[in-house]
Amino acid sequence: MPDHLTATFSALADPTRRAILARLTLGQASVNQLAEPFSLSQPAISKHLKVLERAGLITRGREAQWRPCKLHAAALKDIADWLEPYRRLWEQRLDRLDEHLRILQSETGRKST
Amino acid sequence: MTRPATDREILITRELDAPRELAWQAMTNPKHVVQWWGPRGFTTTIRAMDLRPGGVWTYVMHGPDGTDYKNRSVFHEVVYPERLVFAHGGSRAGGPEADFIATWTFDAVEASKTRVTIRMVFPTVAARDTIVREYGAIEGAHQTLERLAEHLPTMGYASRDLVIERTVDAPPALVFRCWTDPAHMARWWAPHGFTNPVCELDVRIGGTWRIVMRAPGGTDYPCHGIYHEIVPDRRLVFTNIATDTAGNPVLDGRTTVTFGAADGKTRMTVTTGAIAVVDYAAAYLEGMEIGWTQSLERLDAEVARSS
Repeated sequence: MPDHLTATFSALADPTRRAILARLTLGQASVNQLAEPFSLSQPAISKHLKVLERAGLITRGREAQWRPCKLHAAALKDIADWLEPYRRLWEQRLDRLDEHLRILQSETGRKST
Repeated sequence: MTRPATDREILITRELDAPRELAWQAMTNPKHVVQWWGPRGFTTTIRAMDLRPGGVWTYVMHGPDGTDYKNRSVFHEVVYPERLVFAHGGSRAGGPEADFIATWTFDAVEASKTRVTIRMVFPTVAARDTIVREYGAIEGAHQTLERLAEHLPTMGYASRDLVIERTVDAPPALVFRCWTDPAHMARWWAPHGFTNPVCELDVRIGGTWRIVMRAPGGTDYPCHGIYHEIVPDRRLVFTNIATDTAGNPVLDGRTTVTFGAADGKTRMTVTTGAIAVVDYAAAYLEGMEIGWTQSLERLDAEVARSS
């Protein structure tokens, strides 16, 4: 199973990083803009941004001065999808229950006629 | 409730920012234990960890100064996800033997917070004092729990609820029977092509259920849980824990099924929680899905051939 999910979850485990992501859902922002609401230095924020970037949760612009951070929504989608196979297991299970009930009732039907 | 420590005990406690199911995995899966076990600066090599009453756990702790500490414990109680009790023995070469009974308790403070308590009971006050003096056991235990707290967020865990609705063409009484009678349950619980060689349901409040799903290739997928609510023909609530073949929990959750009558049919609503280390759960489900997909493909081929 992909290690990147672990990286994503680790990145999301930190409240400051979650707050940064929440801010980025409103649109791209510079490091200064992101640092503003937190009582953190710019290097501290940059450290968090590196973790988020490595986890694929954000991308950064290439312009030398203003390197805007942008949310990379696809990585968040992977997180949302982790439970889908479990849903498929349950669907499969209920299909078989449905099938079992059909067989049961057709047998009872035959017996009573 | 924890009793106050007597003079031949050491009692250490700490709140962890994670559900106890996850704390349990960190404590019992050797891959995780080596990441945080021991005071700061120590590393650990686990030789064996046989997690069941009477099972032996042997490991070597390597101190920052190069000293090795050999440890050998025997598990007395293994109660997922609440309590682990083991008799500990160990020392550094030539050092005093650290003999004590350790009890690790995981209490759910709220859904995603756990209070972990370590109680070490020594044979005598003198034995306790020696270990505190020689090995710095109290400070060491504090640092160990600190490292555990730091390790938990890196495990990649998630907790979610799943809701599935389904209407089946049968009356609630019959559908309820299919969920509570092992002869019926064994016919449908596992996915297509799988069998249920073990299906034991002790359907009463506090009763245990246990099912082993066997894939067409022979791999076993055991699961078990405890009944919490039973309202005949209407409602069923039980815990639902899937484990790997070694018995390590992979998916943990509580399942609620409601049965509603609708024109001779039954509308079922299944709500099931899932607390999991995502990588393990995904690998587990992927393995299972390959099994049932292949089985359905074989069935398709069979149908195509016979038609």
